[in-house]
Amino acid sequence: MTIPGLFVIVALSLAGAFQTETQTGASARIEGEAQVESTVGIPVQVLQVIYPGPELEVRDVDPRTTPIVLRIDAVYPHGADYRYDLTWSGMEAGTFNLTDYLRRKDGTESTDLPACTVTVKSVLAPDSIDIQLDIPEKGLIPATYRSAWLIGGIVWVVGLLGFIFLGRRRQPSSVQPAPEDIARAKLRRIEQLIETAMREPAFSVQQKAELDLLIVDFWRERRDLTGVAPDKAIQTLRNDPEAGPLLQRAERWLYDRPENTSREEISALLAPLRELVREAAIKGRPSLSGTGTASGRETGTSKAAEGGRG
Amino acid sequence: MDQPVVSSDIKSVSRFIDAIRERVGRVVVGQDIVVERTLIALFTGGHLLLQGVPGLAKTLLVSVLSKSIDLHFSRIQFTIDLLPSDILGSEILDQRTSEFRTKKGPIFTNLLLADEINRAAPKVQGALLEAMQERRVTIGDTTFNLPAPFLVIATQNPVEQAGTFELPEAQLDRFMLCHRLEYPSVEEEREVLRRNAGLGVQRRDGGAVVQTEFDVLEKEPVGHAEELIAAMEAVHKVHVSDTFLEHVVKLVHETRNHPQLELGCSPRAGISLIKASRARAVIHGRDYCIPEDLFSLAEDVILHRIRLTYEAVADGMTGKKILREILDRDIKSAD
Repeated sequence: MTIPGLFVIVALSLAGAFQTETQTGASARIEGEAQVESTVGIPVQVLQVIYPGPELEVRDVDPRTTPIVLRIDAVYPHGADYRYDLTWSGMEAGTFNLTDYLRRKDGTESTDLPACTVTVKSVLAPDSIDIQLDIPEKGLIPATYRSAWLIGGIVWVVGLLGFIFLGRRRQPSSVQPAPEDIARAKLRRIEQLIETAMREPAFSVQQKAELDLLIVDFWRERRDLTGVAPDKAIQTLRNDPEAGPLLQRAERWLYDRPENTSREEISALLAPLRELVREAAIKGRPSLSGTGTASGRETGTSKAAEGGRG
Repeated sequence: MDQPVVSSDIKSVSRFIDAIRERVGRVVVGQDIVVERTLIALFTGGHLLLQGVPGLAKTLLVSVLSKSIDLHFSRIQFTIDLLPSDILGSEILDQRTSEFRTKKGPIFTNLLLADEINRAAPKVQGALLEAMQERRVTIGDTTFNLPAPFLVIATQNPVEQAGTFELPEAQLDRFMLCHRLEYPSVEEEREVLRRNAGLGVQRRDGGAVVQTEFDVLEKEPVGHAEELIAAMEAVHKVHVSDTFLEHVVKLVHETRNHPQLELGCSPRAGISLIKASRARAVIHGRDYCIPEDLFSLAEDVILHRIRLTYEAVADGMTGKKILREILDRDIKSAD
């Protein structure tokens, strides 16, 4: 109240600072003190302003573009009306109505409020400063602090979920062919290799290695030994009355010194094996249940025995 | 082709092996695979690492084996305060002659049992492993060759890891085989207890002690260095076909390219696979290697040489599972 430069309402009236009568026909009634003129950027107060009707609050404005920044410092009941202590500061030169920056707190119309006109002067000459505000279009940045946090939170959660579920190394997902197709393909391949071995003396090392393991796999499936460790499975097969002799002859052909095996012996080994494979291919997949095809076993045994004698 | 032609070398070696097995079997129950692995190491000049909890007759096995072949045997219990000189030997001052004299350490033996090798400090492990590799030791200014044959059988307890120094992969690679011992079966366990209950009391120096299995070891060997040398020569004559080499190369390369393995097999692993397979072939009376040798030895040759990726460990994978998967895939998708 003792701030120099403040004027008592009477003095203000005399100085004609309030032009509300002429502009709007009615003005806010001020029972305290007011400074209605200021320079750009300097905050000043208007005390004990009485506005009729329900309580008021400051309108939302964009602080980067508004010419007046208004704040309600205090609100007092005044009969059916309210008294307000206001602080305002001008951001650009001109004459402004503080009432334009107020609204009813209960949301009702506030167009009937009396004006409270203030003047902002600039110390500098007009257009001496060219302020280029790089203000983005509305909507490009979050409207409020809360929404910015909300968007940030959503991004964080989505990122975390992505890291947990998508960041882990994915197992290569390939369409697996049906087991029957695999079995058929294997049988076909064994037959091809056997025929190549019988036909061509120069059976390559890779083909030998492939044929040997395919034969082991053939018998392993036939004897339901796929769940057994490979070395144990081979040991079991070598002692098998049907598979054992065949496997051991194949081992000697494939792994012993070449001079120890003649072409005739190779043919004698491979011919019954080819018959066995052909029979399995005709009857379907080599039995996975271990029961095999009874006739297949019998045939295999007899053919293997023939091969052995050969 | 029906009757395998087994050379006379293999036949005589088989008799020697059968005699050793029979002698070991009188004292040690079961553990056939361990005996086989020890013989493989002995015939190929490789070294053997046994992983297993205490009380599985490791020391007894090595002891009876050394006595069976008339080999000198030493045992070192590795502890944290062991020094390299405690193993290799040192120079000591002879006060009578005022000259330094070399005192050879326990490493100068044919069969060395390094018990709980991971309990010693890395510099001690390093000294032993270097001697294993070079088969000679330098004490002071003099270099001494280690006796031939020279075989180290080291043990590790996989359970108690407190106060141990884990052997790094580079040093583990020096062991040709790393075998994981398992508990005996129920029947074997019964036989162990039955034999132990049959031990009596031994009178000694006017007193008496309760007999242990070590007291009943037969002193008379079943073979000598000549038989052992013959076995080693037979191993080197075993035929390794190109087809078998193909399997080995494929297996070694698959460990290097497996997505769940950070460290695959070194070339030394492939060499060890071939060596060990040759010895196994001789032990099984063959003069050529077959895939069964490879599959049987793969775990012992490969598992201690590979290292899993962090992701594979986090997914609960083990080296054993991955190796099994590789071997299974090799058989299923031979191409």
